[in-house]
Amino acid sequence: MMYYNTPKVEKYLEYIQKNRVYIIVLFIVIISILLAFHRPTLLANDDSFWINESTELQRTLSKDYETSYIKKLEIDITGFDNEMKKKLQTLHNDLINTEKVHYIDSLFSANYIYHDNKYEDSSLVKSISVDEFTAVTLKKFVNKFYYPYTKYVDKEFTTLTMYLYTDESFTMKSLDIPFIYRFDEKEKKYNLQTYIMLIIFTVIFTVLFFYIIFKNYISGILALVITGSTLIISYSLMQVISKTSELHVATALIIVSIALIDYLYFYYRWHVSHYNMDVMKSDAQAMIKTLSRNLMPAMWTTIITIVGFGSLVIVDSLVVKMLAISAIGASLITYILNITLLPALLSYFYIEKHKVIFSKIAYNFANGEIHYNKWYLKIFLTITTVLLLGGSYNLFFATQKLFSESIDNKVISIKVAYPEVDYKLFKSLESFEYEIKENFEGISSLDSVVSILKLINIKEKNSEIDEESFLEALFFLELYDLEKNYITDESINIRINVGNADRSELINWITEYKKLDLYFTDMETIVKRSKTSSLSILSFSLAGALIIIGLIMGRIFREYKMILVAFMVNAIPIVWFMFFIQLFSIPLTLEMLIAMTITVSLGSDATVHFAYKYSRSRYQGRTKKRSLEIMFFYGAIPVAIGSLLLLFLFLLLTQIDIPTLNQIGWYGIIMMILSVITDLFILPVLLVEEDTFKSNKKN
Amino acid sequence: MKKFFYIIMILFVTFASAKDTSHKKVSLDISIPLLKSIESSAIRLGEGKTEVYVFLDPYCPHSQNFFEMINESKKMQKKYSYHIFLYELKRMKSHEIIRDIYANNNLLLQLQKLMVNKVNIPKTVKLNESIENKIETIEVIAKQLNVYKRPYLIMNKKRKSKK
Repeated sequence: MMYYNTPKVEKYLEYIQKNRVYIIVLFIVIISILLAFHRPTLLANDDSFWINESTELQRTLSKDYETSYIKKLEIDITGFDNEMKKKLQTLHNDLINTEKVHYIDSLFSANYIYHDNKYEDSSLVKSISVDEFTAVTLKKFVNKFYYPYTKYVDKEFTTLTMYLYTDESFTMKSLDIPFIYRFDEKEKKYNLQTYIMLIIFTVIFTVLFFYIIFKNYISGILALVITGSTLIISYSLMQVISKTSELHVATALIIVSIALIDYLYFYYRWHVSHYNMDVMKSDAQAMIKTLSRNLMPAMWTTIITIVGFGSLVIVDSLVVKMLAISAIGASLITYILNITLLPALLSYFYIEKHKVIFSKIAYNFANGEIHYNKWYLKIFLTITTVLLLGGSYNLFFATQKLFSESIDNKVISIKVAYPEVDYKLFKSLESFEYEIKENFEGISSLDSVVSILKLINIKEKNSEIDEESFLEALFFLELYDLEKNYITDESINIRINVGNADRSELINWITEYKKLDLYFTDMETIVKRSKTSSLSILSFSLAGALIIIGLIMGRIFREYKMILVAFMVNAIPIVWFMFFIQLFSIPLTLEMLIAMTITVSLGSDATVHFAYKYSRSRYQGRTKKRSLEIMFFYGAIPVAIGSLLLLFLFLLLTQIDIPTLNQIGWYGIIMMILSVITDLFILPVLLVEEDTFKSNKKN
Repeated sequence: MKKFFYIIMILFVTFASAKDTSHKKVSLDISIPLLKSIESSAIRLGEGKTEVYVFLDPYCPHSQNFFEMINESKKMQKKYSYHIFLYELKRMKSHEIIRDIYANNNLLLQLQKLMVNKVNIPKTVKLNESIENKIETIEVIAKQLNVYKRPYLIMNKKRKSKK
């Protein structure tokens, strides 16, 4: 069926009307069963998903290497005297005795290697325990040989840093720390209270928002019914397909956003179709209009979402799969609900106040945009195309750049599998460290058996360590029992303090280094590695989805220009968003890609609905201006209302103390603004610009 | 003037290179055969894979510290085989005590008594020529090896013998 054909829906609606009670009861039963049997656990932190699918972790575990979370504890200190030293040492000891702490790298676990140069003829390398120092001598020692201790303390001894190697669940909250401190810990626990508050607030806000716009409560309540039902069914679908009950909370945002906007296309049409109608006739007529005008575009938006995101469902990544299923599921289920449950529910109501506050603005938009400046459009599209090409180049040839981050100050912990600690191994490690420092100048410190052996060998600091010096240094390392932090039975430990080097690039470089058998042992790096590879797939798939959306649009309207229009409209918000994050050197994250997934889903919906309404009007012989007015009135207003509501909901997320939701909130706001600007200002103008009705259809 | 400049340059290079080579370690290819030649005079401790040839002065506090550590550590005795040579540090004036140690039967026990337990060991009354020769041989080899510090370590990892 072509876009200009109107489907006959009268008989179908009669059937719905007749069986409305059964339909409603059927859905209530389905939802109740699903609620009873499929209760998902919502996770705000995505680490566990990445961990589950991490091949890097499997490699590490295959060697029986212990993995840890490295958490940085920064303590502000005033006046480093003996009492302060004692307090800090007590804290260090208390922390190390905590069950979930494996190891602490700090000033109080550091090695103090010392050569007694009092007599030239004495050569004994000495290791001094931190207990042997007074506060004054420790400060002097550290300042004299500063480099090995830079990561622990500043020269003035005002901030002390401890690196805690812990279990995932370790939290500082239970410990009493008698200092001002900063501790990098993520909120990992399922915070039921926050979610309940969020749901209550969303429900109240949605009902009030719809009341202000439509002057009735039922619009808001039905929005909640459709959105809630979509959410429950989609979650059950996700649990069945992905075979896990743990779902990322962000998928709820994708589902709610899609369901809400799709619902609005239907409800809005039903609402405004009461205009100028006899009260008795209006309900049936409004329902016919609603279904006949939305049935096809809504079906195409569902097909676009299924085809566009379909390839992601088979990707071997649970997170990517979840995002794809949530977008597809939401689109498909909302469509089914909007053509079955919604008409059945709406048949019980009628509209007294059918006016909508945005209608005048829609006409003003249409009048303004019909006289658009071609030059501005060309300049804008040229810049966008240049940015798009640059972004595509980065995506295909410099993917790593998209994830690059600077001034990270994290620690990467590695294990090197070895057959024997010998000079050959030492030289290989030395060469690895040399290459890493050559390639990443920002690295602040690199702690390994090489660095400690060099420290021991400092008496011959200008000479290269030969085999004998190596054996001698190793001997002293073992004599003072210092080797346990660097050498275990089957592996060598290396700790890299990333400093302001690009961690993402560094991880990639280490992964590709084949001269040593290297294994990551810190979970943050393992998660990041897994994330980066999956996010690359997701980025590629999103780019692919844009092309697919364009192609389907071309097929629907039998117009090749529509391919370009649809592609550009969906690409514009993403291209500009990517441009800004690259400009400010912000790495691409899952939260951004979730926001982009929402935008692409909603953007493609808007493109289909807008183009349908505009093209139908043009086909029916209306002028460009009138067609634009119709498009704005029936298409743009529900998009604007939905986007406004989503903006408020995203704003609400920014106020929540859960980092992932907080970030999605901010990125969602930015993407939503860019998307609305594109839908209201660019898409209509492009439809007029590429209008072919003038030549081959009656105008 | 030119000649004076050349003389200064030659002197500078000579002194600089002399300082550089005086404490330079002798390569293992040369030192191991020399050390093997006096191995019978060594006090043995440990049974590890890596051989450690150590020159100690019984009165030197660093040597005492070092000996105490290897004597106490079972781990260090399991990993390393020590060949200990007693070699006087002139400022310590330890020639007599070295002679007394070598005059006894159980050298290791005497060394432990003196350096760890800090107890006196029996004095030698008569001058024993063979002991003096032993001390002298060690001194000659030590000088050839540029041993200038105590403790002075030379490490040698035992190579796996080819079948």
